[in-house]
Order: sequence, then structure tokens, then C-alpha cells
Amino acid sequence: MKTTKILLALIFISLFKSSFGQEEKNFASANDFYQKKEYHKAINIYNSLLFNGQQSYEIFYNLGNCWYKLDNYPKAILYYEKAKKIDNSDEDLNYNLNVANTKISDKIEVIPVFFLKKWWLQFQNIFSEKQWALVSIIFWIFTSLGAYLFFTTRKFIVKSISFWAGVTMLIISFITGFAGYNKYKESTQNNSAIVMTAAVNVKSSPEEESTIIFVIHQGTKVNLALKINDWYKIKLANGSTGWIKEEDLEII
Amino acid sequence: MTMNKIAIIFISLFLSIVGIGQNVNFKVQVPGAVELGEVFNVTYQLNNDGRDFKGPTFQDFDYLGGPYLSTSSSTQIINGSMSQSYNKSFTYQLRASKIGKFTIAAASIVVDGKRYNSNSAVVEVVKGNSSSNAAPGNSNQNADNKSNDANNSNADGLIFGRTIISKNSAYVGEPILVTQKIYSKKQIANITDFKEPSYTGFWKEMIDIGQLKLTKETYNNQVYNVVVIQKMIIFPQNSGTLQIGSFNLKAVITIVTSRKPRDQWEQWMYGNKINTSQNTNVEVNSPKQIIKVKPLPEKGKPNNFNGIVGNYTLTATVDKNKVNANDALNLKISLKGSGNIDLLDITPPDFPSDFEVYDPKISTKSDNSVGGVSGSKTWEYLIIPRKEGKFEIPAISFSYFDVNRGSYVNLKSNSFNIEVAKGKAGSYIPSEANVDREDIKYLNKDILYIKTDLGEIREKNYHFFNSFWHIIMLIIIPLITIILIILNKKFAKQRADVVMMKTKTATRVARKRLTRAKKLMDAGENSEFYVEISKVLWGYLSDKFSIPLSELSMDNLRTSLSAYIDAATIEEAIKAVEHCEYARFAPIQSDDEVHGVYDESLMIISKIEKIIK
Repeated sequence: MKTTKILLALIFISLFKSSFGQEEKNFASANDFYQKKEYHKAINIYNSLLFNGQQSYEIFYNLGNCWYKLDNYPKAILYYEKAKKIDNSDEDLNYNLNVANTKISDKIEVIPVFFLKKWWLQFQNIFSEKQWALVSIIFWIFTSLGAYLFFTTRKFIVKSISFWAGVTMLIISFITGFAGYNKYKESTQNNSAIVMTAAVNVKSSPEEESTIIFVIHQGTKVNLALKINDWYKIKLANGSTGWIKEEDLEII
Repeated sequence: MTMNKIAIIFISLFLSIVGIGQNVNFKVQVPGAVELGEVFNVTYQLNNDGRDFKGPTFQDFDYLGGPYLSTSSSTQIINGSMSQSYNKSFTYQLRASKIGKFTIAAASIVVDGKRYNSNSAVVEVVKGNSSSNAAPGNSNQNADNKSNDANNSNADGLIFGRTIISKNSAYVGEPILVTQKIYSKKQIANITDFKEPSYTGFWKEMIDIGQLKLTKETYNNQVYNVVVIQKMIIFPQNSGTLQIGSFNLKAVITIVTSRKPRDQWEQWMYGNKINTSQNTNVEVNSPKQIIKVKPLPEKGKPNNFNGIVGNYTLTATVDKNKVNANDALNLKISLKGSGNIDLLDITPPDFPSDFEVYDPKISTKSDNSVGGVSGSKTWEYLIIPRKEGKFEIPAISFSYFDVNRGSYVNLKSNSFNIEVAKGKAGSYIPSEANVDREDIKYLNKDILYIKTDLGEIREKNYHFFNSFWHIIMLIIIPLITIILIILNKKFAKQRADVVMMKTKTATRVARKRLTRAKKLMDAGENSEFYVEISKVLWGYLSDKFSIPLSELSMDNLRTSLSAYIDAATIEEAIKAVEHCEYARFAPIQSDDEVHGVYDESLMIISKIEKIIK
């Protein structure tokens, strides 16, 4: 029973690996097109690598670069944000995203957050969701080791050290796990989008006739709070809210 | 050089003369109304040099003389540009002989070989009141020009003022024409100290009438000398009964009195009648005027109505519908019509916020004529769209009250769809003020290169966190740990049991061996005895302290035992073992010595037994 499962897994992995090789080739050819400044061709190949909503940090990143080079900054930002959702610990990505953000017209002032929260968010962004999960597992192993030592040793010093070390490891494991959990939550909720239309009137209610509160422009990142029919309630980084049509947005 | 200049001057001189020839103005001037029997002048005036003047015949009037020719010319040089004017006039003197309206026919003249006709004019002849037939030309003898301070009762009949309004009742904001005139049968020589009436509750706009002019007018079928003092258009500002106060002025009138000549000399000098004129100061107070002002109806009042009354048309135009971002666009809104043009105002449309809209250039053209104020007001907006996209400039609406219809009219322009294309790249650089410090770091930087190594491609909703393997790992690790601990405990217990058994049996085994050793000692088999007694001691120590026999030696005995018993006892135990080992290999031994070894071993065992139970 167990052996058959392992065998199946092995077969699956080998199949996956073989197709992976083809993908790497395509990826390399797309990169060549990028090098030759044939960005549209590169984009087509990158997109063909991602079917059925598959995701890849590197492909998203490169797509962002292609759109940036084509002066389509909203799309560039969209793909950078998509990449960021997978892994936001990459300095290169943050750099490119910042550069792209200087090209768009809306400069939304971010409401300053409480410094502890800010620190926590910075800390959280050190690793990706997977990395955090792995780190927490490593500490989980350390915790178990501590527990094992504590329960098996006869010597008092070893016992007390292993106890405190075990408790510390447990706490670290929980903290890192929590960071991973936050990242996981962040990436599973489709709660932000990029404005794709050149200029969008943000309405006070989800109706065409309602009054215009303010205007936002393409490339601006908005948080999505609610959805009624084809209207989204959006919230900007500066705290202002309003309603916007689905067609003007692309969800990250 | 100088020749050229001279040539230019001559050419320009020549041109200016030609210029005069090109603009011929030939017209007739007559007084509007005359009394029966009055002598008046008809003057044909030409602004050019002409010849071969042909005047009309005056059948309806008594012809007294003319045409008298008079010419005048003037040359002006202002800032180097020369203008010349030349006037020629032909004057006839006529006397009105019949009552009615008569036409003065046109005259003709030849200018530069071309014949021009003047216009014709109408003169109204009314029945005169005064019997004065004297021609004004020769009646002014100001010999005794006495200035009399006014005798008002005397002057009252001579001069009076009137405020004439075009309507007695009006809506709020409806224009009313007001004319202030003074009437006199006598010559009006001068007007001073004009005090304007009060216009409480009105907005007024003056009509420019130029210099004060003396005209003739019939009023109540009598001809008066009339001076129009002021003309204006007033707009009532609130409803109710409003009053235009009386105006007040001081006028100097010339009263001509005639007398018979005193003597022959005078008769010879001045004729049968001697006219003396006397200037009299009179004060004129006009009667007040009352205007009933109706409020504008509340019914159907548009929201955007702000009190404009009149009649207007609204036009709005944009100069282009498609524009590149950052290129200028013009929106022109104009209101044309009659009413209070200056007061006109529009609410600017809600421009899309991506349009940079400058303050409009407002131009007003108004014509304050007798018919009311008419004209147009234009707002020109300069718009610069900053972003591409499709925008709409909403319709501009304007409403007013139409007096003729007695209802409100709401005008609405069409709205404009503006398509803004992407501007030239880099044509709009955000000013530094718009960019925060964090942004400056990234301004005009290029992005970093693409990633060249493909990592994993994962399924849409793949997350390691909360995945099967993640949870399995989280569960399995403590499970393994628990299993390990349990196994360890079990093993430790088993081992502990073995040790316990050994320690417990150590004494028994030692005693058994001791009895065997005693038997051997008694039997005198010394070498076997030593082997046995050595086994007893080593075995006992090994079992008792759970130290494997292989790990025990003379060298480590001290350190191995130090954890369990005191140093003195250890020394004794070592001594016993040493004795035993020594005696084993000694050639000949007495029984005492053998017994001693035995006793020593027994003693040390019992001693350890006492310490460790």
C-alpha cells in the first residue's frame, strides 16, 4: 500500500520534471525575445507558460518588466503585484515596483501605521509564505528535540536547559508560523486590484447616477472590500472609499 | 537712402489725398421739428471737395436764400500719421409756411468726376404758440445781459423737467428705459448742478448720449426746446412699488423780450423791433415716477435661476473633440440677448478633474441703446487635459425669466465628449512637489533586468502553508518525538531493571562465592581461592555500582566509585583488591595471610553494603 503510493508519487514527479524541461526552454526563448526588445513576443510566450491560472513568481516578474518596457505601466504594476503576492521578499521586485509606481499619476499617501505594526509587517516580509512555513517547521523540530531531551535525560542541568530551550523554540515556531499564516491569508484573499482604465470616477454608491466622489487613474492599487453586482467597494491606501465598476479593475 | 525716404513721404501724401477721395459722405441736416413761420436752415454737407452742386427746389417752404457755400479743411499729424479732413457745406434758409410733415429732397454733387446724391430728410411743422417770427440768427443782442436770480414763479411755466419711463409696471429684473429731459419754450443756455434722482431698489446702466444737445420736440402738441439730460436703463431689484425720485437742476434760460424802438436812431439801427435777451437762472424739479414691480412667479422657477430677466440664447462650442493629453482645448460659452448683460453669470460646468481648467476669459459686449441693453457675454475656458481617456464636459444650463412670455426659460447647451489621446511621452513631468522623497529615489531610474532562472510553476491556488504536507509535518514531528520518548523510557526502564537485579543480587552472589572461597581456603587450595576471591570482589563492585566488568580496572576504580561512596571506603576497597591481586601471584603464603585476605574482602563488602543499601 505504502510502496505503491510512493511509486505513484515518483512517477508523477518524473512526469512533472519532463514537462518542466520544456517550460524552461520556452522561458529561455522568451527571455531571448526580451533581450532583443521584442516584448510582445516575449509576453506571448510567458503567457503560454501559465495556463489555467498557473502562477510563477519569475514569469510574473518578467511579464511586469515586458509591460513596463512597452510603457504600459498599469499592466506592469499588475504583474509585479501578482509576483509580490507569491513572494515579496525579493528586493529586485520591490525596486521595479517602485520605479513603475513613479510612472503613474496617482500619488496616494499611505496612512502611517503604528510603528510596532510597521515593524511586524517588515518582519513578515522577510520571507515568503513557504519560507515562513518551513522556518516554523524547523523550529517545531527544535521544540520536539527539546521535549525529547527534557523527558529522557536524568541530569538536572540538561533537563532545565532543554526545558527552556524547548519553550523558546515553541514560541519562535508559533511566531514564524503566524507570519506564514498572515502571508497565506494575504495571498489567498483576492482583496486588491489595479485600476486599468485611464481615469475612473469613483462613485458614492454602486449606481451609475450617484455622485462622483473622486477620480483615480490607471495603475493605482485599490483594496476591494465588497462586491454588489458588478460594482466593487474600494478602499485606497489613504483611507478613502467609494464604488467602482468591475470592468475598470483587474484583480491581482 | 534719403531719396527713398522722400519718395515714401510723397507717395504717402499722395495716397492720403486719394484716401479722402475714396470716402465721400454727402448728407443733409435739418431740424426735426419747427414751428409754423419759423426760419430754419437746411444744410447739405460734404466731406470732400466737390463741384457742380445741384440743390432741390423747396415747394413746401418759403425760400429765403442760399445755397451759401462754406468750406473748411483741417490737417492733423499725430505720431507721424497724417489725416486730412475737408468739409464743404451748402446752406439754404427756409421758412415753414404750412403745418405738416414735409420732405427735403436730396441734392447732388460731382466728386472726382462721379455724381453723388445726398439723403433726404423730413421736417415736421407744428402750430406755433409764440408769435415770435424773429430769425434766431439776428435776434441775439446781448446788450443788457442781466443775470437775474430766478424768480421761480415766473420760470415755472417757462421750463420743466420730466422723467420718462418706458413702462409703469415691470417684473423684477426687467429692463426699463428712463429718460430725463427738460422742456422749455425759451432758449436753454446752460445747465448746471444736476442732481440725480434716487433710484432706490434699481440697478442702473447709463446710456451714453454724448454731449448735451438742444433739440426740438413736440409735447402736448407744442414745440419745446428739449435737452436730454440722462438716459439710462434700470433694472428693478426687488418687488413692490418703487420710486424714481425727482431730479433737480439749475438752468439758465434766455428770455427774449422785444420792444418798440425808442427813437428814430434806434429804429434805423435795429429795425422795427428791438429784441433784448435776458438770462435767468431757474431751478427745475421733476415730478417723481412710480413703478410697480411685480415679483417673478415662484411657479416653475428653475433651480439654477439667479435672477436674470430678459431674452437670451446660449451657445457653447469646443474647438476640438479629439485632443492629445497636455494640449490645450477651448470651451466657449456665450450668452447673447437682451437684458442685463453685465449681471449675467453662468455656473461653470463640472469639468472632469483630469482637466486643468484656467479661469475663463470673460468678454462682455453690451449696447445700451434705447431699446434696452443688448449684447453678449462670452466665457472662454482654456482647458488642458492631463490624462488620456474619454471624458465628458457636461451640458451647461442657464435659465432666465422671459418677460414677454411671462415664464421661465431654461437653456441647455449640448454636452461634449472629449477624446483625449496619450500625450507625448515625457511632456508631462510631475513637479518635484508632487513626488515624495521616497519617490525621488526611483525617479527616472530604469527597472532591473528580468529573472533568467525559472523557479517552480505552481497551480493557481497552491500554497505550501496549510497544504497537506505542511499539516502532516506539523503533526508528524511531535508524534515522532512522543514515540521516541516512549521508546526511550521503555528501554531505560528495562536497563534499570537489569541493574537493579544485579545490585540486589550482588550481595547474595558475593556471599555464595565467599562460601565457595572459604571452602577452597579450608581445603588449602590457595591459588583457586585467590581466583575466587578476586572474582568476588570485582563481581561485587561491578554489580553493585552497575559498572560493566570490562570497564573496571585498577586505574579507573577510584573515579568510577567516587560518585557513590566516600574516599576512605574507596581506598579500603582498592587496598583489598590490591592485596588480593598481590597475594594471587605471591609464591608461598601462610594460612594467616590467606585468612587475612578473606577477612578483608568480607569486611569491605559488608562495609559497602552498609553504605549502599
